[in-house]
Amino acid sequence: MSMNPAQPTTTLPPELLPLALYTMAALLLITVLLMAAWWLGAKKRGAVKEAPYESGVAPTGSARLAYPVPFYLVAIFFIVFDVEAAFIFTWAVAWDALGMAGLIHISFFIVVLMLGLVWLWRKGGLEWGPSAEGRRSAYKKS
Amino acid sequence: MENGMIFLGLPVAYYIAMIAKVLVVFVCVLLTVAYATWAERKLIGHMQVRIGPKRVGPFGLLQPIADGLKLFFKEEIVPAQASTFAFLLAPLIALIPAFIAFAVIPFGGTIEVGGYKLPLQIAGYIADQPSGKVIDLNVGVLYILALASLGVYGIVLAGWSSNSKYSLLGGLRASAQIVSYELAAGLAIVSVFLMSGSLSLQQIVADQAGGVANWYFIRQPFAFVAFIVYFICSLAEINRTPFDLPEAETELVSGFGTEYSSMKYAMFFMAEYANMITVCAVTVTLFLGGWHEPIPQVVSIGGWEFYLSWANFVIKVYFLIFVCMWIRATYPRYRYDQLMALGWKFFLPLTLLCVVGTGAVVYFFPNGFWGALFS
Repeated sequence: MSMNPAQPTTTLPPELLPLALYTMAALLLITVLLMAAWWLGAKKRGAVKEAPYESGVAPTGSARLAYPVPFYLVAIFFIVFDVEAAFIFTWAVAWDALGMAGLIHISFFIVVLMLGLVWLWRKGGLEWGPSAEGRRSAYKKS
Repeated sequence: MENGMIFLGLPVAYYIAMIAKVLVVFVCVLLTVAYATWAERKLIGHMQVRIGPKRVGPFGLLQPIADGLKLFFKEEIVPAQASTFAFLLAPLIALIPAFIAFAVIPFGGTIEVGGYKLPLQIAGYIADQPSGKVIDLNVGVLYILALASLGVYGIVLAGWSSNSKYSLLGGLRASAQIVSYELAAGLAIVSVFLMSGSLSLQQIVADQAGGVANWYFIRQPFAFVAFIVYFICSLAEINRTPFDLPEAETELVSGFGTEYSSMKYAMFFMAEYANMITVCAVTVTLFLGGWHEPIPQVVSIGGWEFYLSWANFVIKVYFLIFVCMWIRATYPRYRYDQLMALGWKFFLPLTLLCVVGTGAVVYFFPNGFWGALFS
């Protein structure tokens, strides 16, 4: 009865086989759902039905608007900080090998990162909409 | 089993057990997704002194099935001037990562099928049978982070491709919100790496064995802060209330999903709930001891260990899902500038401090923080 299981000889790493199966199950389910909905659903097309929904008002102009600048700024900040996070990750899995020196280095690195964040903050890179003073002065004028 | 058929160096029974495991987990996740919608409506109903769904089946239990069936019979509308390919692709990109992120989470110990040990984890196997050591994806946490950030593409594509102003605004808000909070969530997890020294979820769970005192969230003060920050940031990353700006129905109708109908709408909905389950499961695995019981077993409870491991996991995950719903019923929605300020001006510096703090504590107290403090 005692099994002597052979070492797996698949070329795929064995832990990925169930992962692939699971992904396939998810894909299959989604395909079945979409096909069924496409087959069962009503099909009555019309120009009005295909118009974009704007709360009952006839849509004007294209919806391909230019993106406001703050969103672009957030994307840039994200890339900058995410790359720094990758450095922190690499330290975090090897901190015991790096010892005290590693801890001091990463603390210095994080302090620099924080200074960068403070600089962004002071420059107004993290603000959305009009500033608080702007809002107050607009209120006083009216 | 007497060495039945061998296929690619493994007995066929192993493959059957593995396929069964995959299917059972998949069906469980699906059922949880379906019934999370029911539970949410019922819970929030009661919290707002309403009854919630009750007509379809006893206690409204058939409501998710009725909703699903209804959506099958709805018309699939593709708006004029929409980018059809991107429009059809978006729900797939939103839903598939939401489902498959669950695959690396260990939801129990090991079971024995036909003399062959199997780990209760989708992406894991046991090469060395006598010791029962589970080998899983050694970058499990990175896999989850990667899939969590893939989900944003679905939402942004949905918003952009619909050619509707509400959708575009929802997609834009979602993209900025998700990347902002992903940063803080990712940095909060660094505390876990520091304590475990590994990115493998099996090892992270194994390191938390032996009762509630060993769970990462109370190993040391900074880890507790990281736990709270991670949970809140994850809620923001998956657009749960109070951070559901991308689909704020009072201003944006349904945000990025405005133009979607029928099953494609349901797919966004399923993605939201599947994401919630994954986030709760990841939080349990990283901070709340995974499938380990809160009190180490003092007496042998013969034969029940098998149920205990995954029952522990399920109870903890369901509790966190309940907390998500509770938060939804309790807090009003943030304003957009408040939301971004919270992410960038509060959570990001806090997680950076947490990283340094946890690092210092694991370095200076190698034998445990509380023990050193109270001895």
